[in-house]
Amino acid sequence: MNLRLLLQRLIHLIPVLFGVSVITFSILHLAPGDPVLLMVPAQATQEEVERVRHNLGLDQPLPVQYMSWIGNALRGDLGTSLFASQPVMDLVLERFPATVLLTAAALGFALLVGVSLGLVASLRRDTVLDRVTMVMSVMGWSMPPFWIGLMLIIFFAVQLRWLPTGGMFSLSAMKPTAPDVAKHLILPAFTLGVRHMCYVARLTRSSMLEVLGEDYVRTARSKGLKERVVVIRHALRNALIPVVTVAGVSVGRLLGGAVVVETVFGWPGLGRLTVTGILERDFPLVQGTILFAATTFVIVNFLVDLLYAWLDPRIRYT
Amino acid sequence: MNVQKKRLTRRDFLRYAGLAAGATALSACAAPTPVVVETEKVVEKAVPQTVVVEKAVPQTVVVEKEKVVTATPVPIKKDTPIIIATPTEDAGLFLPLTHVDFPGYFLNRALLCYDFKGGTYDVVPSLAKSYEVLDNGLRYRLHLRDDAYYHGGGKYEAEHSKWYIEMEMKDDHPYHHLAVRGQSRASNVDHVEAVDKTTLDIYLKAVFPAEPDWLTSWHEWAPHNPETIKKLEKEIANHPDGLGPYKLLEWQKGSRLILEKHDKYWDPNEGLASQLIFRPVTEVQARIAALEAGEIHWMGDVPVDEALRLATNPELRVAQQKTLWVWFIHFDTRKKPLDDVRVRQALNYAVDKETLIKDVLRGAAVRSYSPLSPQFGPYYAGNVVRHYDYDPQKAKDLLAEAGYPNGFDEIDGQPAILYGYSGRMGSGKPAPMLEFIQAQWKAVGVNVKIEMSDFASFEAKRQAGDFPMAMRGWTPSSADPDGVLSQNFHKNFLPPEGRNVCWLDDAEVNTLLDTAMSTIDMPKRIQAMLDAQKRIVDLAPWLFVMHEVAFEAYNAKLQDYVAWPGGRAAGMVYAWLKV
Repeated sequence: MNLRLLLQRLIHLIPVLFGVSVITFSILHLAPGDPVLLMVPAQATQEEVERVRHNLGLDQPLPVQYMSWIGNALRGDLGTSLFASQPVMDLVLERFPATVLLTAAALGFALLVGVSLGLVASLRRDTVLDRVTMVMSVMGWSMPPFWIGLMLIIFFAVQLRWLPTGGMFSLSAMKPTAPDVAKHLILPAFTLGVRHMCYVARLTRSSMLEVLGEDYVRTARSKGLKERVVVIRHALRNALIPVVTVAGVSVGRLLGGAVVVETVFGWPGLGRLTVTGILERDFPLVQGTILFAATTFVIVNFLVDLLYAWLDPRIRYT
Repeated sequence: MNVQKKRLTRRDFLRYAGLAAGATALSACAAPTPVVVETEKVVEKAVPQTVVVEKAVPQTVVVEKEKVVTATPVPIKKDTPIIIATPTEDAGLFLPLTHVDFPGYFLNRALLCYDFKGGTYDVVPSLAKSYEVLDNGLRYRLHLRDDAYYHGGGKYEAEHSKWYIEMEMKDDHPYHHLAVRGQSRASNVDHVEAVDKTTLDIYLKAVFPAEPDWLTSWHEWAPHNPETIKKLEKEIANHPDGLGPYKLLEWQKGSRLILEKHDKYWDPNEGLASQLIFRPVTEVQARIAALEAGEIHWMGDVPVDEALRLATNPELRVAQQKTLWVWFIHFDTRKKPLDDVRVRQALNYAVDKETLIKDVLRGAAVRSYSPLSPQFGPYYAGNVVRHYDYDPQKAKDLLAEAGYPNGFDEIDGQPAILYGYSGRMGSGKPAPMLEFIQAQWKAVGVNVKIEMSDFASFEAKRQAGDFPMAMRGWTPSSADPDGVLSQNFHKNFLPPEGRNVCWLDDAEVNTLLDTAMSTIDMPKRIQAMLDAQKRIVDLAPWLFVMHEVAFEAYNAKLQDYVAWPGGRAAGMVYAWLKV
């Protein structure tokens, strides 16, 4: 892909992000619910309510509020959280690494296990192994993540006491260590990733079955190549193209799913911060976190587009 | 005899599976057996340590209640940190005059305090060792401690409280911008004078008998070191410099907040554990799992079903507190047919509150006879007001008398809707409670639809006075009855200024509440409050339902912990862990 085209595609991201900012801002401000009323004590008078509203700049017309917010956002300032009284950017950057870790672990798990299961199922088509894998994947896809999470906590943390119930590291540890964090990551990453893993398994299986019937696979076999080479180099690489597409979209789903999983497991990520912001009508916080997450999602999809070209020599951006 | 082993056929298998599924479905459909019928049984069974003491009569003019500090030194039992799970995301904010969550009870000390050790709402000394009420109630003279030190080491003096209170009150105060969240508890203050280093005079604009209760607030009256505020400005939120028995050691947002013992705190009986660690766990089931796994030592807001289960676990203790909370349905008394007192009374008679508490809440509530819960002590009017005992026939008669013999299904020409909200703690079980009420009203011919929303949307509409009838849980921010009665029933609090969303403007109620709020003669005040409640209950602007009973659960290793009815682990300052 040449540089000019790369730039062109990057420029295309701008209207997308502008749309996200407008929608986020409007939905929040047009939704019923007044942060000032949630902030002041029950006995506050109307005058005090208005004073707080003025202090927070919430008495300005909406377009003025939007322009001021977007102008600052372009300079990297997402405003100040109404409740935490801290810069939103600081709060987001504090929480973002935890969400990235959780999402990456969940995605890694989903792809690794999902592709392996799908591959095995396709190669052992119509055997018991294939049936069991596919039934399990339907079940995994159908179970709500918060329920899976709670069941895992009850079984592995409360009954067996093998793993912690939540959090990102042991509270008593003064400094978090990698093994400690890894131990805390197992249950939330599994919970977040299990549905995607099931989906990837089914997708890999069907995609592989399709590819295995293609002429070039037959050609590869007739050349006398080893079955392993045929499957891995010739079939799987092509079968993975839809999986890669799904993985890109999955990042968005995982970021969304992280909201639930982070809440259940007390994982200190962006999702939990957003939920708190929504419940308290903390406009700058929610706008900031959503804009940030949307930007991440858009960039990931951009990178996935680039990855196609590498995976499939037929695709060339010109 | 030739016995042939019968092979399980596919048909047999399906038959057995069907039978098993049917049995499971039947058992699931059976009416749930309430585990607890009487609330008192829970107390005996689950909470041997809990002492529920009702609020004592407030002192009239001069209070010289000195907290007795025992002469014997307290043994040091402090090495193990206590881990507290908080349901809120950031486990605390320390900006001056903001709402202070859990850690505030340990970081801050106000001028006066509720009695955490006794587990009651009695006002006891704190920064002020005693106070006098002077000038017929217009001046409060507080005698302050001379041994209070900030976490940073600075010594507290009266001038600091004056500076701190004025930060909120005065627009021209150089740090007024930090007090963005206006609080109203200084709104009745005319001015403040620091007479000397240990004497503070608070002059009120008008007599205000609730002042001692208001002086317990963690907002205006719990100072942080002015020098630190001047130096850090907004950053004080991350580096509080208060006067409480614990100081901030570390705050990893979203993960943990660690407080450590403040060595220069004046009372050796408070702050026994070396550290308190707060861990935010927003999901209630996850909190319960963490408690059962021994990862946390304390949690609040335990749902009643879980409280009953946890009480059988020998490694845990469950405490219950009767709260100030009242749960009700308010009626817009301007709208037809709710403008007729007989209709409102009929709606009260039509609901069987006892059965609702027993079946829906599994006994975890106290029936509400008036807006004030029994925790209000002498102001409690349950014994003197009219009782709306369940009587559907009387309800029908009253409806007929008011001209609605077949009931009604419209309010002001619109379909009758009962509004509710979910997802907020201390609201009982809103949906099943509303459905129960809906069914009982239907039995007397009153047909309403239920509409639920989240709390933020609900509160905005409620404040605008948009609801003809809606549920609401209400807890006053201090233990003075004014926070319930005037706020909800006095004409001065009609929307949009106030929250009297039943639009009650009754001359007798207004006069009685005015009397109660303008006298420091306590017997007279109590009588006025009781009479006001009698009148309010007669007028039935609410469906009086219940006062919540709240549950806390904690590890059995936790010693000397007393559950305070306001929750939030406030009694933890006296607790320590036995290991």
